[in-house]
Amino acid sequence: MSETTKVPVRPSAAHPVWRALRSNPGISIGGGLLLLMLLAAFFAPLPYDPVTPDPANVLQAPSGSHVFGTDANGFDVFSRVVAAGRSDLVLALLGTLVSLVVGLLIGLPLSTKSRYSEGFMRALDAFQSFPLIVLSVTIVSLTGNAIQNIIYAIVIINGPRFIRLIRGEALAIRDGRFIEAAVATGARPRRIVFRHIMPNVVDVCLVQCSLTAANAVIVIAALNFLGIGVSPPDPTWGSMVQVGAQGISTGQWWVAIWPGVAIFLAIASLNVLAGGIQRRVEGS
Amino acid sequence: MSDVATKAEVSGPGLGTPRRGERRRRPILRYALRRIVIVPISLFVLGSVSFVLVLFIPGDPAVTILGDFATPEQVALVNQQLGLDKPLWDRYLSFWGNLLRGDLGTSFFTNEPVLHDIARFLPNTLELVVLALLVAVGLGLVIGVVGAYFARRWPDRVMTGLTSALQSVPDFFLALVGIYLFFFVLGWAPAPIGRLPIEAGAPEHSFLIFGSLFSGDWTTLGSALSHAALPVLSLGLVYSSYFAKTARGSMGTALTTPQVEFARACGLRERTVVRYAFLASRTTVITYVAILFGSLLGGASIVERVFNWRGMGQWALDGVLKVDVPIIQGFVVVAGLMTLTLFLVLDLVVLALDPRVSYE
Amino acid sequence: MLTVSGLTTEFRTRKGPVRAIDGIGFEVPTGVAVGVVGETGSGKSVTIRSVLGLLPGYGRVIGGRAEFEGHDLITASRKRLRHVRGNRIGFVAQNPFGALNPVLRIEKQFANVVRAHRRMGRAEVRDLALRRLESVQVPSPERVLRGYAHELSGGMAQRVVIALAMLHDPPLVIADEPTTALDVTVQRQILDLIAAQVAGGDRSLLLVTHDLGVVAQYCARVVVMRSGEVVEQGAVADVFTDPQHPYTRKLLAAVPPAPWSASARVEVTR
Repeated sequence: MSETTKVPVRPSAAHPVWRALRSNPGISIGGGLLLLMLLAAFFAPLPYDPVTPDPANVLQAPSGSHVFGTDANGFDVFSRVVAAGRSDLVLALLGTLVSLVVGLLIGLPLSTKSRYSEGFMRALDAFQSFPLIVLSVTIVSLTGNAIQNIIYAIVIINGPRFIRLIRGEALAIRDGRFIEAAVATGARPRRIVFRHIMPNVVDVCLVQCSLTAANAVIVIAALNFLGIGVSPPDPTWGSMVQVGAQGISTGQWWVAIWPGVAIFLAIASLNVLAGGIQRRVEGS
Repeated sequence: MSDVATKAEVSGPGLGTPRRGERRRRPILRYALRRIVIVPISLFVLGSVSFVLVLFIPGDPAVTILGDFATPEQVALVNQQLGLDKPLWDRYLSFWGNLLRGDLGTSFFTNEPVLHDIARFLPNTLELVVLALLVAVGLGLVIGVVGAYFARRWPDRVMTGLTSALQSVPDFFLALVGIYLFFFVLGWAPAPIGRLPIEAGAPEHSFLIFGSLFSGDWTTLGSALSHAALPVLSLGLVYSSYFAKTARGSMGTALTTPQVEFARACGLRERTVVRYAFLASRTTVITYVAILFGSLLGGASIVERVFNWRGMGQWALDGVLKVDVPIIQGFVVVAGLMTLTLFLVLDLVVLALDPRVSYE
Repeated sequence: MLTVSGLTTEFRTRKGPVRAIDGIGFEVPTGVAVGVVGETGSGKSVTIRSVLGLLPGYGRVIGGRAEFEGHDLITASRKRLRHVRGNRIGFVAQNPFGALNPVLRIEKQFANVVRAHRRMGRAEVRDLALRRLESVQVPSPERVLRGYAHELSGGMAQRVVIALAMLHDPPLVIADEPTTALDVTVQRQILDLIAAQVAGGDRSLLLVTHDLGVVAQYCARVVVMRSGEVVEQGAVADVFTDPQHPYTRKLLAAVPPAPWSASARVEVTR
């Protein structure tokens, strides 16, 4: 009788997919939206060619033929907003991946408590106290206007966070408290590491990855807005906002707003995804 | 960002081991001294980073700077200005020599002394950043505290949603939306063409808003404030999400402590309880002010550009886009110096606020 | 004094609501010390937090009453509840270093609790605080008032907490495991102190603990809880000599029968 008190009062008998969605809407909604944007960028049939301007239809307001309108060069805004995901999202994810690798390559060797590694962490503190966005703009513009330089910028801003995170997690594992406890209960250390520690570490890194990707989308948009890393006429959200910025004071809102909304959706879905994974890390 | 929280936690309650009758002043002084000793080290790193920046320029820096059509004479001149004809070690030493004498060099393109430019543009940026931080702190704290107080209930969800929405907007995009709505549609805000209307001429004060506030020049102040409203709000709203997140976290923790429970059990007013919980979590917020100040000094640059604010960020950005090395170095040194100073000051403030802190 | 009946509290979790306590009922008569015992997670703590309205945001009392001085505390207005807390019911927390505010001087904390319920000048507050500190045997109370919590030893800090709980001379004192966070050497002193504060007169005590020995020594009545329900209650002498519920028997059997421990006295009374 007393056992029943600990059991949920309303057991749910819904479909497993629906239950997963309900139990962690962050992962499903955020991840789903992100996936949708990626798929649309590569596979969606576009009404117009995003890189072919139509000089006869310049600065058309949204209508049936151009749902998001056209910009000052006669590009169809809708086609470009969807297609820009090809460079923006892919670059953001690539930059995140490289940041993760840098974090692993530097963070793991530093996962000792020696004076040397503590000193390095202090230096990292000092490095992070700089206005990193300016530093990255500087480096990108100094090293030339190439796309891979945007990835360097993302790594400069986000690498330190990965280093710190991975070092911390690795220190906790090296500390061996888990392993001690596991051995004490008779489990084999390898099993404990792969069954219990690694999934948690991976989740923690995944949270940081989605936050980094969200930050990367902003950095890319900012750089592109400044004309860095853009190779016209390829569409990017940042450069589209830049093109639209010139008309915003005179009322052509659609040129800048739609790519801005796309940036917002991309960042929001990544943040929501991060929140969802975070909840899974903390457990219910 | 998360390291801030852990830092504050470490310096937080060390309640497990009560120390009886221990004098508190000694460890605080020792910590303050150690904290101040770090400053020259940070400055050294800072200066070195700004020196190393030049080394990132691939190929012949002079060609990169001047473009492919530069004459050999021009290239030689720039090389001489950069000191690229001398060995690296010499350049490093003379860089420090100039820096310590307060000489930040001269712009390649305008031939203005960098220090002179900074004196002209820094006040604009400082006003923008300070006002934006005020908005961000005020709004962020309200959002975060309300969320923490109603933890896991509907106001918390609303505030969390608001926070992640604000976090997902690039500031320059919010600025454009603001210009469209408040300048074009509603006509409430002035055109985004600078700090004052064109006909106002050159401003009297280098600190336009603070200056006219203290000298009682109300017309200038009103005009300056209306021009500042949109840039300040677009930065303030976006950056308030950081404070909201921090405040939600630290207040959420502070409101579930036994301390708060005991205060309630003693019948203290909710107002008092929340105030003390806030005081307990304020160090985290203060630390965050320093971090965001640093990132706003450069991070405001795009918004400055959108509003033609003529701030240091916009100036540095233009310098960066033109590969004007002295400007870039000057900006990194000055912005870094200011951030480091603020970190130091706020660390000491936190230290003075909390009688527990002993900083092992 | 305090009559709890049918008290049921739920916690919202991601897997749906979970009942932490289910239909708790007991009584704290005037002038009587009642012990609530049970293992960790049995709902002792949730019970007193439900009574005092101190549940976290995701916890909610969904049924039952807690009558105190003619009012139901469960449905009482926030104003009424605040009037009761600290004023009519004193609360002794588990860990004094968690309960005291680390950044306020002790005197300020006394002033806060005093001013939460009545207007009083600075000198009067000080006077009252000194008297209360003396009555819980704090040596040099002036110095304690000037200092901060972290400068005190565990025993002294808990004395300050008791003095705060007693500040308004409440007719009921609720103590939530008041000694578990303290060194073994001072546990007895603190319990003796609490007992002395409530002894004689009409003051009642609700003592939450997991130590049956403590209940045997300091309480007249006992409420045994398990998994959010009351399994047995009654006079200490009856329950301890003739436990009805198998769980109570198990608990009693688990008390180490060391001759110098309080439980030895249980054996004697048996």
